Amino acid sequence: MKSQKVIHNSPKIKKLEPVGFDQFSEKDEHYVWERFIKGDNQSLIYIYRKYADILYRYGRQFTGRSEFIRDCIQELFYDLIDRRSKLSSARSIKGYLFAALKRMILRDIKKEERLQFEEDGFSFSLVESSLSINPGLDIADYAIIQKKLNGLPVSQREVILLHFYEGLSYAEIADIMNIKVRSARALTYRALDSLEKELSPFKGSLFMLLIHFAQY
Amino acid sequence: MQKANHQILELIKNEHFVQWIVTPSEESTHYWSKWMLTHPDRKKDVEIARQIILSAQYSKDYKMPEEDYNLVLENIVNYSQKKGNKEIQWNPNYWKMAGIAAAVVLVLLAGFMAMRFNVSKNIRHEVASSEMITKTTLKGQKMVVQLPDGSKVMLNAESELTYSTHFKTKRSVTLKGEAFFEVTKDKNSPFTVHSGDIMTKVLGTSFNVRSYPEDTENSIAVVTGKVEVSDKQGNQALLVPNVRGVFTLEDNQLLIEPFSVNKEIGWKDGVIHFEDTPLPQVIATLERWYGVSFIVKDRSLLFGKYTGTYKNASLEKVMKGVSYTTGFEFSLQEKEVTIY
Repeated sequence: MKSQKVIHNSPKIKKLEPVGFDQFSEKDEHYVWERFIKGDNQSLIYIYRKYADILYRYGRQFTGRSEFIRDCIQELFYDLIDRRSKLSSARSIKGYLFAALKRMILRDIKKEERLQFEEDGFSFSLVESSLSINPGLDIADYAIIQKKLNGLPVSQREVILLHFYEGLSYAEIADIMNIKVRSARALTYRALDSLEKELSPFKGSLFMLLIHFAQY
Repeated sequence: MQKANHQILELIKNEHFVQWIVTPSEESTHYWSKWMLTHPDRKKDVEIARQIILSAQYSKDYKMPEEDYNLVLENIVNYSQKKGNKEIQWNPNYWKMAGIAAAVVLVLLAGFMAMRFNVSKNIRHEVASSEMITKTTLKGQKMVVQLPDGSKVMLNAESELTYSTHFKTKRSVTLKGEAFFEVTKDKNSPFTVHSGDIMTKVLGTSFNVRSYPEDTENSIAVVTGKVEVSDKQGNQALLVPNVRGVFTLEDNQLLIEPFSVNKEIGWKDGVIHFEDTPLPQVIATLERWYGVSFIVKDRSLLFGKYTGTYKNASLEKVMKGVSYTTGFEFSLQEKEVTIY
């Protein structure tokens, strides 16, 4: 009758210890969100602390008016508190906040004629992240890529930054851009394809590098 | 060459690849390490794709003005509390009191903001290019910090971890207190921990660093991988798993010895371990661990040593154990323990 023996693992119950919210790692964000929906104020503060600056930087790409973006962020959180009990629990916090902030900004920009879009919002500055350590791109390559990316239409620059820098998925990007997931993917591909064209007739070091690699 | 570029693009277009690079998780790192093992010819593509993805940054990297940041936080917390209190019965006195309280808060806040504003104005310009990020725990707190390269740091109570916003370029952190590190492997980019005069250098391992200000010795205990430690006096050693390096601060020695896992790194799994530990040190540990203060009526009660192990225990349980073997009485009141 050995086969009937069932080992019961004691169920893992996450208990909120009185040690502050910062103990949560990224994975527990879902849990923070759920606590927030249930009315917990500590998690509200946690979400604000984590995302206020990130949202502000994103918002400022649309307009240079700092107080306007600040007010939008405040309104966004008021809105979140108002609708707290109706929010869905299975959500990415970051994607949700970005989409909500953008909706708010666009709505008010339409209302106020004098709010104009920044022309050079979402422009890139490429940083040679690991230039000194690993073989790969050199400064000339970065300069070419940067120039190419900055020449793209603003919406394509936006999706590249959301994807490469903010780490958002195509589904989240689609939500933010208010388009279908398929279109978000297509928009990103279009931006990247133009990069390939730029890299193809390459005379610079990337070309040399690839020859170098080919010898291995 | 067309083909090589195309292969790099193929990676950059892969959503899961991009997410692994930007926000690596245990699962994705496992998947892509395996993928690279089965596609050794694509290793260089991966490297170039990684560099392109990570190099994309906002050229206008604005930060919210500090006074705005604090103001909005204050507002939303108030708003949330007001909303939550709606059920409370309306009472004229309640509102009058609330009004007075709000006015007091406003006055205090205005003063605070004015101070903050003056200070921050001077500082912000100096740190514009590279800002330092600091994570701090208080007594009784622990915190998990995920670094931009995917490395995980578990901070023990009353500790501080500092690193630059340029961490991705140079993997370097400064530690005060105690922390357990799980460093993501990158053989081309060493990861350094500075704690006081001691430097710990690794490529990808897990290890514990203890360096509280009151400690007479600082120790680095290795769980996996190899760790290089050195100090400014010229002591240096390569540590391997199950071995710890102990820097004695009094006579500048570096000792290498095996360690007890429970004693050295049990803290991260909620284990308190005492082994012939002098009572004053037991009390210091408990104060930090539970965020409480001890009042000792008679210092002579603290002669002697204590041995015992607790896992996820309440302070009361630990105190019962300690007082039983050492023979003192205690009373527990909120954040205060009295020994008599």
